[in-house]
Amino acid sequence: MSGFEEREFFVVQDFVESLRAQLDRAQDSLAVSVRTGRPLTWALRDVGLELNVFFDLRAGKARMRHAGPNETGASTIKLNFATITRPMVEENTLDIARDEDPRSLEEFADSVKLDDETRTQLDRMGVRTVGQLKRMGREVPEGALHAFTGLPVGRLRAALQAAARPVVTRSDVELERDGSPLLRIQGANLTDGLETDVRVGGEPVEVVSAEAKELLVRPMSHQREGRFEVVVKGERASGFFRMPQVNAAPDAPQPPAPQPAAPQPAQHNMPDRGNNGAVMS
Amino acid sequence: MQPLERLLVDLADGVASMTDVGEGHLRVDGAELAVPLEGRAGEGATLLASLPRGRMATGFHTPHGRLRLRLTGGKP
Repeated sequence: MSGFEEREFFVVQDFVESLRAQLDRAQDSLAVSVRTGRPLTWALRDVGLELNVFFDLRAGKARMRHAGPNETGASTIKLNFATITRPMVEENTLDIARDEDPRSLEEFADSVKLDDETRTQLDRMGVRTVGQLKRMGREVPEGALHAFTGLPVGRLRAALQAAARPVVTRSDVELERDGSPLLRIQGANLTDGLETDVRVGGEPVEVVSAEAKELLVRPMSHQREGRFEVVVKGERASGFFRMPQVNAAPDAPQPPAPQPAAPQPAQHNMPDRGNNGAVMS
Repeated sequence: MQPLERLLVDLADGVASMTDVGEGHLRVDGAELAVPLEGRAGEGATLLASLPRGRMATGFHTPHGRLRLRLTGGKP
């Protein structure tokens, strides 16, 4: 490390991200001058930076530090930032809302014990959500994936199998106009598109609508609270729900809104305050 | 040294002060600056930067980088 302390190094990705945020702040500051009555206002069109740095690779991550006084042999990094418009941002970034399974690969990798090396390789390939992992598993033959990336087929297959299991991340009770309750269940792989089996306290209940990320089910009148179970292709995920208080005084405080549960594999428990008393239109 | 964004705003203000010359037939609608730059790492991988602080290079100064800045101007 030639006498330089570890803290002088920073991850290149973090640096670029910080620069982007700094340029955004500069642009925001310049925008303020629009309101100061100047005859002309100025905005950043593009910014180029040329810096003398030393690079280092640690645990598969590129790091760098600025060159110090009298240091020779530094590398030069040239960065160009250009102003882009919102449509360009949208065109070039992943739309999380449209991802079939937006769970982060990082959290998922922890739950299925995906090793760091495989995780890093997937990250380099741009696979950052479980949805992207599934799509890659569908569209690229295993053999080709192994040949071109070196990803171990066995580990990848196990990860894909785990990614296909149903998961419940949140549940809410909503009230229809007539006061009858519906249970909204959110998660991943909640239906295979053919059959969706939801049980409350062991009894099957009506599934009003079913999508991979969300189910709407109608509990029976005697089912006021308890454990629900979603079964897809023999795999189970479960959670708990509780109906809102009927005949509550008008000024009575509403129960707090449910907190999203951390995504977990099948058979996990949900917070038991899964109800916000919302009225369906 | 100051955070890069403050240096950029200072430079842009400098350009603005040169071009705020009142109404006329011609106006400046763009400017490009290329300046030497001293940089070092700040908190959270941010970039602290300044223009070189003297005309004489000494052994205590970090090697200079370069900052190129293109600004576009318009009526608010």
